[in-house]
Amino acid sequence: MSKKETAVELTAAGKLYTFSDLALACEAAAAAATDLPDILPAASVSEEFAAGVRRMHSAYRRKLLRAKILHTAAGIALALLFTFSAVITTNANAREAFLTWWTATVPGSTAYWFESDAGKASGRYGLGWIPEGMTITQQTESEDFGSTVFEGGGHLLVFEYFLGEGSGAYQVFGASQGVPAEIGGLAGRLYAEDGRVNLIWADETKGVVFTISSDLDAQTVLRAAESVREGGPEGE
Amino acid sequence: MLQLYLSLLDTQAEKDKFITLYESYRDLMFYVAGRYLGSDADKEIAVDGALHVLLGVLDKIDDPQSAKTKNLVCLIVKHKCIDLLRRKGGTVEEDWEAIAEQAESGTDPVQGSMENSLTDAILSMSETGREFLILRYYHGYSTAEIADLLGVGRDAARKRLERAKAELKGILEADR
Repeated sequence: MSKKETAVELTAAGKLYTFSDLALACEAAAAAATDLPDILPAASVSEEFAAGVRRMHSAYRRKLLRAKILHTAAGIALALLFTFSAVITTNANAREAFLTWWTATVPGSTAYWFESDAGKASGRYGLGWIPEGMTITQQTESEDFGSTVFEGGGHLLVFEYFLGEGSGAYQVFGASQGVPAEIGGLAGRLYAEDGRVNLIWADETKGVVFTISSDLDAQTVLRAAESVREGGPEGE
Repeated sequence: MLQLYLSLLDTQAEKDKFITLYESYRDLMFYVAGRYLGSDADKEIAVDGALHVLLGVLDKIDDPQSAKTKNLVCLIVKHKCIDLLRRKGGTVEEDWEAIAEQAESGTDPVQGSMENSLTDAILSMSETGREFLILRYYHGYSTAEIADLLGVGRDAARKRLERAKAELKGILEADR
Protein backbone atom coordinates (compact mmCIF):
# COMPACT_ATOMS: atom_id res chain seq x y z
CA MET A 1 0.00 0.00 0.00
CA SER A 2 1.23 3.47 -0.80
CA LYS A 3 1.77 6.24 1.72
CA LYS A 4 -1.25 8.06 0.29
CA GLU A 5 -3.51 5.03 0.72
CA THR A 6 -2.56 4.54 4.35
CA ALA A 7 -2.71 8.22 5.30
CA VAL A 8 -5.36 8.97 7.90
CA GLU A 9 -7.94 11.26 6.35
CA LEU A 10 -10.63 11.30 8.99
CA THR A 11 -10.98 10.63 12.70
CA ALA A 12 -14.49 10.05 13.97
CA ALA A 13 -16.09 8.22 16.88
CA GLY A 14 -12.70 7.03 18.07
CA LYS A 15 -11.82 5.42 14.74
CA LEU A 16 -9.19 6.33 12.17
CA TYR A 17 -10.21 6.22 8.50
CA THR A 18 -7.47 6.05 5.88
CA PHE A 19 -7.62 7.26 2.29
CA SER A 20 -8.05 3.64 1.27
CA ASP A 21 -10.97 3.12 3.70
CA LEU A 22 -12.72 6.16 2.28
CA ALA A 23 -11.95 5.12 -1.31
CA LEU A 24 -13.60 1.71 -0.80
CA ALA A 25 -16.59 3.19 1.00
CA CYS A 26 -17.02 5.89 -1.65
CA GLU A 27 -16.87 3.28 -4.41
CA ALA A 28 -19.65 1.31 -2.70
CA ALA A 29 -21.63 4.48 -2.05
CA ALA A 30 -21.29 5.58 -5.68
CA ALA A 31 -22.65 2.23 -6.84
CA ALA A 32 -25.48 2.22 -4.30
CA ALA A 33 -26.52 5.79 -5.01
CA THR A 34 -26.85 5.16 -8.74
CA ASP A 35 -30.47 4.98 -9.76
CA LEU A 36 -30.14 4.87 -13.51
CA PRO A 37 -32.47 2.67 -15.55
CA ASP A 38 -30.91 -0.32 -17.31
CA ILE A 39 -32.22 0.83 -20.64
CA LEU A 40 -31.78 4.47 -21.54
CA PRO A 41 -33.79 6.30 -24.17
CA ALA A 42 -31.76 6.98 -27.29
CA ALA A 43 -30.63 10.59 -27.37
CA SER A 44 -31.62 12.53 -30.45
CA VAL A 45 -29.16 15.29 -31.11
CA SER A 46 -29.42 18.22 -33.43
CA GLU A 47 -27.15 18.57 -36.43
CA GLU A 48 -25.58 21.62 -34.77
CA PHE A 49 -24.61 19.53 -31.74
CA ALA A 50 -23.22 16.70 -33.87
CA ALA A 51 -21.22 19.24 -35.87
CA GLY A 52 -20.00 20.81 -32.64
CA VAL A 53 -18.75 17.47 -31.34
CA ARG A 54 -16.98 16.82 -34.61
CA ARG A 55 -15.32 20.25 -34.43
CA MET A 56 -14.28 19.65 -30.84
CA HIS A 57 -12.83 16.28 -31.73
CA SER A 58 -10.94 17.83 -34.60
CA ALA A 59 -9.66 20.67 -32.41
CA TYR A 60 -8.59 18.18 -29.76
CA ARG A 61 -6.67 16.17 -32.34
CA ARG A 62 -4.83 19.33 -33.41
CA LYS A 63 -4.09 20.18 -29.77
CA LEU A 64 -2.83 16.65 -29.15
CA LEU A 65 -0.67 16.74 -32.25
CA ARG A 66 0.81 20.06 -31.20
CA ALA A 67 1.66 18.69 -27.77
CA LYS A 68 3.26 15.61 -29.29
CA ILE A 69 5.36 17.61 -31.72
CA LEU A 70 6.62 19.80 -28.92
CA HIS A 71 7.30 16.77 -26.75
CA THR A 72 9.17 15.08 -29.59
CA ALA A 73 11.32 18.13 -29.99
CA ALA A 74 11.88 18.24 -26.24
CA GLY A 75 12.73 14.55 -26.30
CA ILE A 76 15.37 15.08 -28.93
CA ALA A 77 16.87 17.90 -26.92
CA LEU A 78 16.97 15.86 -23.73
CA ALA A 79 18.45 12.89 -25.53
CA LEU A 80 21.11 15.14 -26.96
CA LEU A 81 22.00 16.44 -23.55
CA PHE A 82 21.90 13.18 -21.62
CA THR A 83 22.21 10.20 -23.92
CA PHE A 84 25.48 11.04 -25.53
CA SER A 85 27.57 11.27 -22.42
CA ALA A 86 26.02 8.13 -20.95
CA VAL A 87 26.43 6.00 -24.04
CA ILE A 88 29.79 7.21 -25.27
CA THR A 89 31.47 6.56 -21.95
CA THR A 90 30.04 3.10 -21.42
CA ASN A 91 29.91 1.66 -24.92
CA ALA A 92 33.22 0.54 -26.43
CA ASN A 93 31.78 0.38 -29.93
CA ALA A 94 30.60 3.94 -29.60
CA ARG A 95 34.04 5.14 -28.60
CA GLU A 96 35.52 3.38 -31.62
CA ALA A 97 33.05 5.07 -33.90
CA PHE A 98 34.92 8.35 -33.94
CA LEU A 99 34.41 10.33 -37.11
CA THR A 100 31.47 8.18 -38.14
CA TRP A 101 27.83 8.03 -37.29
CA TRP A 102 26.86 5.36 -34.86
CA THR A 103 23.35 4.03 -34.66
CA ALA A 104 21.62 1.87 -32.10
CA THR A 105 18.04 0.71 -32.34
CA VAL A 106 16.10 -0.40 -29.34
CA PRO A 107 12.37 -1.14 -29.28
CA GLY A 108 10.60 2.12 -29.89
CA SER A 109 13.58 4.34 -30.47
CA THR A 110 16.75 4.89 -32.43
CA ALA A 111 19.78 6.70 -31.08
CA TYR A 112 22.40 8.37 -33.27
CA TRP A 113 25.63 9.97 -32.32
CA PHE A 114 28.87 11.04 -33.91
CA GLU A 115 32.30 12.30 -33.05
CA SER A 116 34.20 14.65 -35.28
CA ASP A 117 37.37 16.64 -35.07
CA ALA A 118 35.46 19.89 -35.09
CA GLY A 119 36.05 22.16 -32.14
CA LYS A 120 33.36 23.78 -30.06
CA ALA A 121 30.54 24.74 -32.39
CA SER A 122 29.20 28.26 -32.27
CA GLY A 123 26.78 30.57 -34.03
CA ARG A 124 23.06 30.98 -34.31
CA TYR A 125 20.89 29.37 -36.93
CA GLY A 126 17.49 30.07 -38.37
CA LEU A 127 15.20 29.23 -41.24
CA GLY A 128 15.49 31.41 -44.34
CA TRP A 129 12.10 30.23 -45.57
CA ILE A 130 8.95 29.27 -43.71
CA PRO A 131 5.54 28.36 -45.13
CA GLU A 132 3.29 31.30 -45.91
CA GLY A 133 1.13 32.42 -43.00
CA MET A 134 3.41 31.05 -40.30
CA THR A 135 4.92 33.28 -37.68
CA ILE A 136 7.25 32.80 -34.72
CA THR A 137 5.27 32.10 -31.54
CA GLN A 138 8.04 30.92 -29.24
CA GLN A 139 11.81 31.21 -29.26
CA THR A 140 14.56 29.99 -26.96
CA GLU A 141 18.29 30.57 -27.33
CA SER A 142 21.12 29.42 -25.11
CA GLU A 143 24.85 28.90 -25.46
CA ASP A 144 24.51 25.55 -27.19
CA PHE A 145 20.84 25.26 -28.13
CA GLY A 146 18.28 27.16 -30.13
CA SER A 147 14.58 26.47 -30.59
CA THR A 148 12.00 28.34 -32.64
CA VAL A 149 8.31 27.45 -32.84
CA PHE A 150 6.38 28.63 -35.90
CA GLU A 151 2.59 28.48 -36.07
CA GLY A 152 -0.01 29.44 -38.63
CA GLY A 153 -2.85 28.05 -40.71
CA GLY A 154 -3.55 25.43 -38.06
CA HIS A 155 -0.05 23.98 -38.41
CA LEU A 156 3.05 23.88 -36.26
CA LEU A 157 6.73 23.71 -37.11
CA VAL A 158 9.54 23.48 -34.56
CA PHE A 159 13.11 24.16 -35.66
CA GLU A 160 15.92 23.36 -33.26
CA TYR A 161 19.70 23.20 -33.39
CA PHE A 162 22.27 21.87 -30.98
CA LEU A 163 25.87 23.06 -30.86
CA GLY A 164 28.23 20.26 -29.86
CA GLU A 165 31.87 20.18 -28.98
CA GLY A 166 33.24 17.85 -31.63
CA SER A 167 30.30 15.56 -31.11
CA GLY A 168 26.59 15.26 -31.45
CA ALA A 169 23.87 12.83 -30.55
CA TYR A 170 20.15 12.48 -30.77
CA GLN A 171 17.49 9.90 -30.10
CA VAL A 172 14.32 9.43 -32.10
CA PHE A 173 11.35 7.88 -30.34
CA GLY A 174 8.76 6.11 -32.40
CA ALA A 175 8.17 2.96 -34.39
CA SER A 176 9.31 4.38 -37.72
CA GLN A 177 12.92 3.75 -38.70
CA GLY A 178 12.85 6.70 -41.07
CA VAL A 179 14.35 7.15 -44.51
CA PRO A 180 17.64 8.77 -45.52
CA ALA A 181 17.41 12.41 -46.53
CA GLU A 182 19.89 14.93 -47.90
CA ILE A 183 19.69 18.54 -46.81
CA GLY A 184 22.07 20.95 -48.53
CA GLY A 185 24.57 18.13 -49.11
CA LEU A 186 24.36 16.97 -45.49
CA ALA A 187 23.10 13.53 -44.51
CA GLY A 188 19.99 13.27 -42.41
CA ARG A 189 17.00 11.11 -41.71
CA LEU A 190 13.31 11.76 -42.20
CA TYR A 191 10.65 10.18 -39.99
CA ALA A 192 7.00 10.39 -41.01
CA GLU A 193 4.61 8.88 -38.52
CA ASP A 194 1.04 9.53 -37.38
CA GLY A 195 0.71 12.81 -39.25
CA ARG A 196 4.00 14.16 -37.93
CA VAL A 197 7.29 14.63 -39.70
CA ASN A 198 10.61 14.69 -37.89
CA LEU A 199 13.69 15.59 -39.87
CA ILE A 200 17.12 15.33 -38.32
CA TRP A 201 20.43 16.15 -39.90
CA ALA A 202 23.87 17.25 -38.85
CA ASP A 203 26.79 19.30 -40.06
CA GLU A 204 29.61 17.15 -38.73
CA THR A 205 32.27 19.60 -39.80
CA LYS A 206 30.76 22.21 -37.49
CA GLY A 207 29.41 19.83 -34.87
CA VAL A 208 25.83 21.04 -35.20
CA VAL A 209 22.69 18.88 -35.16
CA PHE A 210 19.49 20.30 -36.65
CA THR A 211 15.94 19.06 -36.21
CA ILE A 212 12.57 20.07 -37.59
CA SER A 213 9.34 18.60 -36.21
CA SER A 214 6.04 19.48 -37.83
CA ASP A 215 2.57 18.36 -38.85
CA LEU A 216 3.23 19.76 -42.33
CA ASP A 217 4.06 17.42 -45.23
CA ALA A 218 7.57 16.10 -45.77
CA GLN A 219 8.23 18.22 -48.87
CA THR A 220 7.46 21.43 -47.01
CA VAL A 221 9.65 20.38 -44.08
CA LEU A 222 12.52 19.55 -46.44
CA ARG A 223 12.17 22.92 -48.16
CA ALA A 224 12.32 24.69 -44.80
CA ALA A 225 15.36 22.59 -43.87
CA GLU A 226 17.15 23.54 -47.09
CA SER A 227 16.78 27.19 -46.10
CA VAL A 228 18.69 26.92 -42.81
CA ARG A 229 21.18 29.75 -42.54
CA GLU A 230 23.56 31.04 -39.98
CA GLY A 231 22.49 34.26 -38.34
CA GLY A 232 19.06 33.76 -36.81
CA PRO A 233 15.51 32.86 -37.61
CA GLU A 234 13.23 34.08 -40.35
CA GLY A 235 11.87 37.50 -39.62
CA GLU A 236 14.92 38.82 -37.82
CA MET B 1 12.33 8.45 -19.51
CA LEU B 2 12.07 6.43 -22.69
CA GLN B 3 8.72 5.02 -21.66
CA LEU B 4 7.49 8.54 -20.99
CA TYR B 5 8.22 9.62 -24.52
CA LEU B 6 6.90 6.41 -26.01
CA SER B 7 3.63 6.92 -24.19
CA LEU B 8 3.42 10.48 -25.48
CA LEU B 9 3.83 9.23 -29.03
CA ASP B 10 0.94 6.79 -28.72
CA THR B 11 -1.38 8.98 -30.76
CA GLN B 12 -4.28 6.68 -31.48
CA ALA B 13 -5.12 5.83 -27.88
CA GLU B 14 -6.54 9.18 -26.80
CA LYS B 15 -8.60 9.46 -29.92
CA ASP B 16 -10.03 5.96 -29.43
CA LYS B 17 -10.73 6.68 -25.79
CA PHE B 18 -12.68 9.83 -26.54
CA ILE B 19 -14.73 8.10 -29.23
CA THR B 20 -15.48 5.22 -26.83
CA LEU B 21 -16.54 7.68 -24.14
CA TYR B 22 -18.82 9.56 -26.49
CA GLU B 23 -20.43 6.47 -27.96
CA SER B 24 -20.80 4.70 -24.60
CA TYR B 25 -22.26 7.59 -22.68
CA ARG B 26 -24.04 9.82 -25.17
CA ASP B 27 -27.49 8.47 -24.23
CA LEU B 28 -26.60 8.48 -20.53
CA MET B 29 -25.37 12.07 -20.65
CA PHE B 30 -28.60 13.23 -22.28
CA TYR B 31 -30.64 11.18 -19.81
CA VAL B 32 -28.89 12.75 -16.83
CA ALA B 33 -29.17 16.22 -18.40
CA GLY B 34 -32.88 15.56 -18.91
CA ARG B 35 -33.35 15.20 -15.16
CA TYR B 36 -32.36 18.79 -14.62
CA LEU B 37 -33.05 20.60 -17.86
CA GLY B 38 -36.18 20.96 -19.90
CA SER B 39 -35.19 22.06 -23.36
CA ASP B 40 -33.22 19.95 -25.82
CA ALA B 41 -30.99 22.94 -26.56
CA ASP B 42 -30.05 23.24 -22.86
CA LYS B 43 -29.32 19.53 -22.64
CA GLU B 44 -27.00 19.85 -25.61
CA ILE B 45 -25.19 22.77 -24.01
CA ALA B 46 -24.70 20.79 -20.78
CA VAL B 47 -23.52 17.64 -22.59
CA ASP B 48 -21.22 19.68 -24.80
CA GLY B 49 -19.70 21.26 -21.67
CA ALA B 50 -19.31 17.85 -20.05
CA LEU B 51 -17.53 16.49 -23.12
CA HIS B 52 -15.08 19.38 -22.93
CA VAL B 53 -14.38 18.59 -19.28
CA LEU B 54 -13.88 14.91 -20.12
CA LEU B 55 -11.34 15.85 -22.78
CA GLY B 56 -9.31 17.56 -20.09
CA VAL B 57 -9.20 14.47 -17.88
CA LEU B 58 -8.87 11.88 -20.65
CA ASP B 59 -5.44 10.81 -19.46
CA LYS B 60 -6.82 10.00 -16.01
CA ILE B 61 -9.49 7.68 -17.35
CA ASP B 62 -8.12 4.15 -17.38
CA ASP B 63 -11.15 2.24 -18.56
CA PRO B 64 -13.75 4.31 -20.44
CA GLN B 65 -16.40 1.64 -19.91
CA SER B 66 -15.91 1.04 -16.20
CA ALA B 67 -18.47 1.82 -13.49
CA LYS B 68 -16.03 4.39 -12.18
CA THR B 69 -15.97 6.28 -15.48
CA LYS B 70 -19.75 6.06 -15.74
CA ASN B 71 -20.05 7.61 -12.28
CA LEU B 72 -17.64 10.38 -13.26
CA VAL B 73 -19.57 11.12 -16.46
CA CYS B 74 -22.84 11.40 -14.49
CA LEU B 75 -21.27 13.75 -11.94
CA ILE B 76 -19.76 15.99 -14.60
CA VAL B 77 -22.99 16.22 -16.61
CA LYS B 78 -24.97 16.96 -13.47
CA HIS B 79 -22.66 19.79 -12.51
CA LYS B 80 -22.75 21.20 -16.01
CA CYS B 81 -26.54 21.27 -15.70
CA ILE B 82 -26.26 23.04 -12.36
CA ASP B 83 -23.88 25.59 -13.90
CA LEU B 84 -26.33 26.23 -16.69
CA LEU B 85 -29.25 26.61 -14.31
CA ARG B 86 -27.27 29.01 -12.18
CA ARG B 87 -26.39 31.09 -15.22
CA LYS B 88 -30.06 31.19 -16.20
CA GLY B 89 -31.00 32.56 -12.79
CA GLY B 90 -34.77 32.72 -12.54
CA THR B 91 -35.51 29.99 -15.06
CA VAL B 92 -34.55 27.12 -12.77
CA GLU B 93 -36.59 24.01 -13.49
CA GLU B 94 -38.74 22.43 -10.78
CA ASP B 95 -36.56 19.31 -10.62
CA TRP B 96 -33.55 21.37 -9.78
CA GLU B 97 -35.35 23.16 -6.97
CA ALA B 98 -36.11 19.80 -5.40
CA ILE B 99 -32.56 18.63 -5.83
CA ALA B 100 -31.17 21.83 -4.39
CA GLU B 101 -33.48 21.54 -1.36
CA GLN B 102 -32.47 17.93 -0.94
CA ALA B 103 -28.80 18.86 -1.01
CA GLU B 104 -29.32 21.61 1.55
CA SER B 105 -31.33 19.45 3.92
CA GLY B 106 -28.93 16.55 3.74
CA THR B 107 -31.60 14.03 2.85
CA ASP B 108 -31.93 11.98 -0.27
CA PRO B 109 -33.77 8.88 -1.51
CA VAL B 110 -31.04 6.41 -0.57
CA GLN B 111 -31.12 7.29 3.11
CA GLY B 112 -33.47 4.47 4.05
CA SER B 113 -30.84 1.74 4.30
CA MET B 114 -28.87 3.41 7.10
CA GLU B 115 -26.50 1.05 8.91
CA ASN B 116 -23.59 1.72 11.16
CA SER B 117 -20.87 1.61 8.51
CA LEU B 118 -18.73 4.06 6.62
CA THR B 119 -20.51 3.36 3.33
CA ASP B 120 -23.92 3.93 4.85
CA ALA B 121 -22.72 7.08 6.55
CA ILE B 122 -21.57 8.38 3.15
CA LEU B 123 -24.90 7.37 1.63
CA SER B 124 -26.74 9.36 4.25
CA MET B 125 -24.81 12.52 3.51
CA SER B 126 -26.11 15.39 1.42
CA GLU B 127 -25.76 14.67 -2.29
CA THR B 128 -23.28 17.52 -2.75
CA GLY B 129 -21.08 16.39 0.13
CA ARG B 130 -21.15 12.79 -1.01
CA GLU B 131 -20.13 13.76 -4.54
CA PHE B 132 -17.14 15.70 -3.29
CA LEU B 133 -15.99 12.70 -1.26
CA ILE B 134 -16.53 10.38 -4.23
CA LEU B 135 -14.49 12.61 -6.51
CA ARG B 136 -11.73 12.90 -3.92
CA TYR B 137 -11.50 9.32 -2.67
CA TYR B 138 -13.08 7.07 -5.30
CA HIS B 139 -11.78 8.94 -8.36
CA GLY B 140 -8.64 10.16 -6.63
CA TYR B 141 -8.80 13.76 -7.85
CA SER B 142 -6.97 16.50 -5.99
CA THR B 143 -8.87 19.53 -4.74
CA ALA B 144 -7.54 21.59 -7.66
CA GLU B 145 -8.66 18.93 -10.14
CA ILE B 146 -12.12 18.76 -8.56
CA ALA B 147 -12.34 22.54 -8.85
CA ASP B 148 -11.54 22.32 -12.57
CA LEU B 149 -13.93 19.44 -13.13
CA LEU B 150 -16.86 21.17 -11.48
CA GLY B 151 -16.03 24.67 -12.64
CA VAL B 152 -15.67 26.13 -9.15
CA GLY B 153 -12.82 28.05 -7.52
CA ARG B 154 -10.07 26.10 -5.76
CA ASP B 155 -10.79 27.70 -2.41
CA ALA B 156 -14.47 26.89 -2.78
CA ALA B 157 -13.62 23.27 -3.66
CA ARG B 158 -11.31 22.98 -0.66
CA LYS B 159 -13.97 24.40 1.67
CA ARG B 160 -16.67 22.12 0.27
CA LEU B 161 -14.43 19.10 0.73
CA GLU B 162 -13.71 20.14 4.32
CA ARG B 163 -17.44 20.60 4.90
CA ALA B 164 -18.14 17.17 3.41
CA LYS B 165 -15.61 15.55 5.74
CA ALA B 166 -17.08 17.42 8.70
CA GLU B 167 -20.55 16.25 7.68
CA LEU B 168 -19.36 12.65 7.46
CA LYS B 169 -17.63 12.93 10.83
CA GLY B 170 -20.84 14.28 12.35
CA ILE B 171 -22.90 11.36 10.99
CA LEU B 172 -20.36 8.77 12.18
CA GLU B 173 -20.24 10.29 15.67
CA ALA B 174 -24.02 10.61 15.92
CA ASP B 175 -24.35 6.91 15.09
CA ARG B 176 -21.84 5.88 17.71
